[in-house]
Amino acid sequence: MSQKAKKRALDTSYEVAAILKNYWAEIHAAKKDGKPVAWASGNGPVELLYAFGILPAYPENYAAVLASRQMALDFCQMAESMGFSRDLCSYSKINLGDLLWKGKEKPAMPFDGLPLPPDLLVTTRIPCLVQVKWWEVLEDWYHCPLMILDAPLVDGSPTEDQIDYIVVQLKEMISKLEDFTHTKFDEQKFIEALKLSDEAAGYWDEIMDLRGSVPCPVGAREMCGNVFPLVAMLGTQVPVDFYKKMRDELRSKVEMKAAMVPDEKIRLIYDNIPIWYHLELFSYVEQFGAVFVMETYLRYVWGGRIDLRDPYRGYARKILSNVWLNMSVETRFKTLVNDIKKHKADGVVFLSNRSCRRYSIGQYELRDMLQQELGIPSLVIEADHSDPSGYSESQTKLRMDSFIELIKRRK
Amino acid sequence: MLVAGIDAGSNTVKVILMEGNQILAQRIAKAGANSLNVVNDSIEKALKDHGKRMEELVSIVSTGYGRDNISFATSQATEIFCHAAGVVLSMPEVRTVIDIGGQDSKIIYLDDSGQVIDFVMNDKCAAGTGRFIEMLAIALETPLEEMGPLSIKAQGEIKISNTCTVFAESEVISYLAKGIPREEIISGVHHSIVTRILAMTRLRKMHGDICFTGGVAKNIGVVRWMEKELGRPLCIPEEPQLTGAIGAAVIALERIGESE
Repeated sequence: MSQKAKKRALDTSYEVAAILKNYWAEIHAAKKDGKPVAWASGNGPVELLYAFGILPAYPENYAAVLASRQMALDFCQMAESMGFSRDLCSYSKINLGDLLWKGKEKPAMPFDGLPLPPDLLVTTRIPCLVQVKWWEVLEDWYHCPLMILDAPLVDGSPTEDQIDYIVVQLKEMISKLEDFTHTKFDEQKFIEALKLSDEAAGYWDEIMDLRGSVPCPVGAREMCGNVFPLVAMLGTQVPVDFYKKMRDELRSKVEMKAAMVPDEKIRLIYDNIPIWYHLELFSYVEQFGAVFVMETYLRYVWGGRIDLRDPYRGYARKILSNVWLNMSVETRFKTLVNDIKKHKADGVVFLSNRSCRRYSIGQYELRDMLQQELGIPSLVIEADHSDPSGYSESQTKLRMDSFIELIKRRK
Repeated sequence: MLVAGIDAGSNTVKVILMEGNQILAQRIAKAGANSLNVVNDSIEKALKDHGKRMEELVSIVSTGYGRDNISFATSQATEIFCHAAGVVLSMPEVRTVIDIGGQDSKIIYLDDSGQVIDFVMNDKCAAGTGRFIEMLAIALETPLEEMGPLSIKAQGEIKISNTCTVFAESEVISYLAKGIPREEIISGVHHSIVTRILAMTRLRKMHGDICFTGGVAKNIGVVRWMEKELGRPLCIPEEPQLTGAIGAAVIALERIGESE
């Protein structure tokens, strides 16, 4: 599966590579200087870390980087050979396989690998439960403090009680971080990080909305790379500047009616984590005049606005509201219906993701509901997001071809 | 005008020549390791048998896993649409098509005008495809074509509980070791594939006549189980394995003048 680069739709997209490089260089430099580095999971309360001058590294994100470079299989197999279940989240298998590597020569790791050892582990139950177990394994290996933000499943909007529950935990974490760093919590710094986080998320939301224009100015493949600063640097200035620039570029593209696909015919929505080792699937459809205009993973996993009038409660509300994985099937349906209309989508492609069941649960129900209530067709494809071992490219493309033909004939 | 439909499947290559609405020639050949050669051979022989030449073909549609590799095809279509078109040609009342091929199985839903409105395909595993029966036929040391006739002689019934082809193989071997009659095991194999396929239909109600296509529809044991489970008779084309190629030829007819 070659992932050939083709000319990108947005000039701003070319800046991601340097951002990525700088991010890793900074993390490694901090580690070298003896500053504490945390391993954090996505959707964790990283803005708190910035208030204490702690930089977060993201093993999941790094696993996605390895998968997109066709390096995942060896690490997955290494973790499996050490007794971890094949059915575990492939992000965790990649990370554990990386850490447990034994025997044959280890491949050269992009960006010099994760900074080792972690000084602090931060995770949350918001997107999934595997993360907590995975972080517990890391705690066991590295004997460093582990902080877990617990969260209830939210049906619609979070209740005041649920918000209280998060706020109490945030305050507990602050005092634990004070103990860990032997410094006093700097609330101003925290609020500054929240502000930056909110600002970047605001631009990101605008970017996502601009992609709803007809024709769509930029597709999923490119945006999967562009999401990196939002995932790994939320709460800092970099994503604010980057996404502001991207928003501005998109605005002018939309004004000019610049199209990702000449003669756009079909607009698609994608649900689930991208197939990192075969991102080409997103651009594959373009030869048929189809384009992915919105992805639940890009829109409802990262970012999220924060009401800064009451920073703690506002932050708690954002943590509980914005994550697709923490939404009930009914909320997912309502959200999807809204986005199908907003983005003028013709169909939805669901990835039934072998090692992320929490993301995949309810997809067949969503498929039925969309067909019955909107007459919108959907396709369910099967693969894993980062472990390529069970993937069949030709079978997946056949399903995609048939789905596109179905939509074309219905139009 | 002369057109061709080519179904380059994972197991077999099927070729149809059509003139007007009439099938002029049909060929089925094992795909083997070099399926492109088999495609070339099949089409050449089909043309030669009827005194026709390649240049006379005005439209050639390819389908199946090898559809993109056939250089002389004028266009491609997916199996879903080819199977639907192939069925509608001879059985216009059909509204649901169940196709079990070598590597895929699918349920295709048609509207009242015979157009595809939805489809469901098996997950990527070989269970629920023709390959499942082929592998177990090897384990049972039974020629594939004898599987159907033998199984309908079964007196009792055993259940194959493993959907995984590899595990089902060892299950079958353990039944053989226990001395269970071969017919009963084969019947269990057929029942297992039918259960697996019909699980896909739970997502959407089947309506109208149901047609069973693909190579597996030639297996009377599978057909019987399918009819029993559905509680209704199935329509089966004369040569179910050719449905995709016939459909490709029908689409080739529709596309005359559109391509090239």
